[in-house]
Amino acid sequence: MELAITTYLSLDNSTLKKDGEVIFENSENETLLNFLKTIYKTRIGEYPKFHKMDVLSKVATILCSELVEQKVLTQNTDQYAMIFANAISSKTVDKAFQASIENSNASPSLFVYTLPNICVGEVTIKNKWTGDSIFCIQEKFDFDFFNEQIISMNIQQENSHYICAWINDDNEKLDAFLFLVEASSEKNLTLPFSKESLINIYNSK
Amino acid sequence: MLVYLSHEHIISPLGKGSAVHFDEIKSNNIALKLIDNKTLGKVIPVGKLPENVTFNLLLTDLLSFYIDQIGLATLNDTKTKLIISTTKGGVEQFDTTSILGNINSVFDSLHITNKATVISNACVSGVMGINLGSNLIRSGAYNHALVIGLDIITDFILKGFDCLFALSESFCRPFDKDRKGINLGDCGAGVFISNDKKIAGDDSVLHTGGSSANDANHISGPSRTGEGLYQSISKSMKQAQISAQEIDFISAHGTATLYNDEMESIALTRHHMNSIPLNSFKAYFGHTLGAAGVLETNLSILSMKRNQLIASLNFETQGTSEQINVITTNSSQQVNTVLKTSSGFGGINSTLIVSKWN
Repeated sequence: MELAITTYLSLDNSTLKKDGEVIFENSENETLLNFLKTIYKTRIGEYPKFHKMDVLSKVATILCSELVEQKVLTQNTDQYAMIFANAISSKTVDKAFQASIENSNASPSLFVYTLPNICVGEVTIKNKWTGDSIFCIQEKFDFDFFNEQIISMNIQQENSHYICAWINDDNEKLDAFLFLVEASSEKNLTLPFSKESLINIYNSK
Repeated sequence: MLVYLSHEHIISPLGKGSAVHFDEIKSNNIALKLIDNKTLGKVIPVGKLPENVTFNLLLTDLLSFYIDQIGLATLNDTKTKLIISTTKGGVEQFDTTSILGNINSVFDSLHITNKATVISNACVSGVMGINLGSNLIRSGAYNHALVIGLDIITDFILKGFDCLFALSESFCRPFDKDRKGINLGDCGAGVFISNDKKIAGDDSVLHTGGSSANDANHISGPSRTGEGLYQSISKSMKQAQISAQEIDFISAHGTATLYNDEMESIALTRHHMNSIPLNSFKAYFGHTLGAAGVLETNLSILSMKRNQLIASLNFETQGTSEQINVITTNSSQQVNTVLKTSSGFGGINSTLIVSKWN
């Protein structure tokens, strides 16, 4: 089966882009957390759970919700497989939870987010996606990694879409990139799921 | 294509080697001991390896076993997949160390040149790792895979589960009506996966199916209906092309929290698996997090090889709303096919099925 990348999103401290085009800018030069909050208020409907999430989960929620809002993806399905990764695991929350222990005030709401796969869980809950998923820690954004996960999850050929995301939040410097992989059809042949095209769109984000 | 599981290995406070562990727990020996934890300010059961055993040392020990058994050349072959399953990866200094930093330094010291795929998927990481390795071999992308699951219980982890009120101050009692939460334990476990029967050996078993599904319900509590676990079991059975009647034994997740064990009983009932003998190994080792899926799959493989079922320790009185067949005494019986289940934070459920090939 030939696979194609049918859309992609990127988010860093300054811009949210879809298919390489800027769709939202940090024009007020806000901190990362405030920028994420502004995107949430502007582009996602009411979802109070957003405020208690860690950065990984907020970013995952923003990116996936964007595709739902734009009707690229639908809610309530078991047909999507989610492949999420980053390099630093949940380091930001780990440090915050460690500090809460040292202050004799261990926070259960922080501890839960010290598991990096919680960001996938948050996305599944918001969108009622009950399919397969995995969270891995990898040195860098890498075609071979995503390709292998798709090969493994495609064994039973039950997934319509692979939602692939790299969300690295290192010292408040965000590098997030989400791309959608589907079986190719005449409509979406423009961007095959290949090392060359993936690295190309990731580097030009 | 047949996918063989072999060379099971376990390191825990009970010792080293999978057969050793099976014999120890058959004799009711457990890895858990009451420990006075200063950070928590209380005495609780914990399965601790000697204090000098760090994550890196444990990983070194596990990989050295496979270098000895399988050979460095095979582990470094481009058609061999290395998979590490862990939740916190031994990170203790959050400013200066990282999971990948720890793993890479061990790989370098052992001259392992292949890069590992590191799965950090809460308590299902181990089962997920075995499924990933098996499916990559099934696809033809790889010939072999080595899956290592490991975690060391730090004060960070103890404090985390304590502030969630998930820790039991007594020895945990999976599926029992008096269960009061989990115990935690150190462990490292490995399994080799291959398409080559000669390397796997005559006493290998087959991985016939495995899958994951999300509850999409709550990040730190299981679904009331067991939906994700139910779906994962359905998908794994479909891949293995078996029905519930063909399963001889279920190695359940059985953490001994109120909600987890209840959820499992509901999901299994929905599959009409109430009469299949079932246990939780958690009362022997505690919850070993990233290692649990590999540890418990390995013990299940031992059950198949020996045709012996191990009791679910500390279970006395049915404590779930659905009646399930929790094993109360060790017994000998034919064990040809096993279902291993796991469920974790985030609402993820992973299961796998192993069968004898001869």
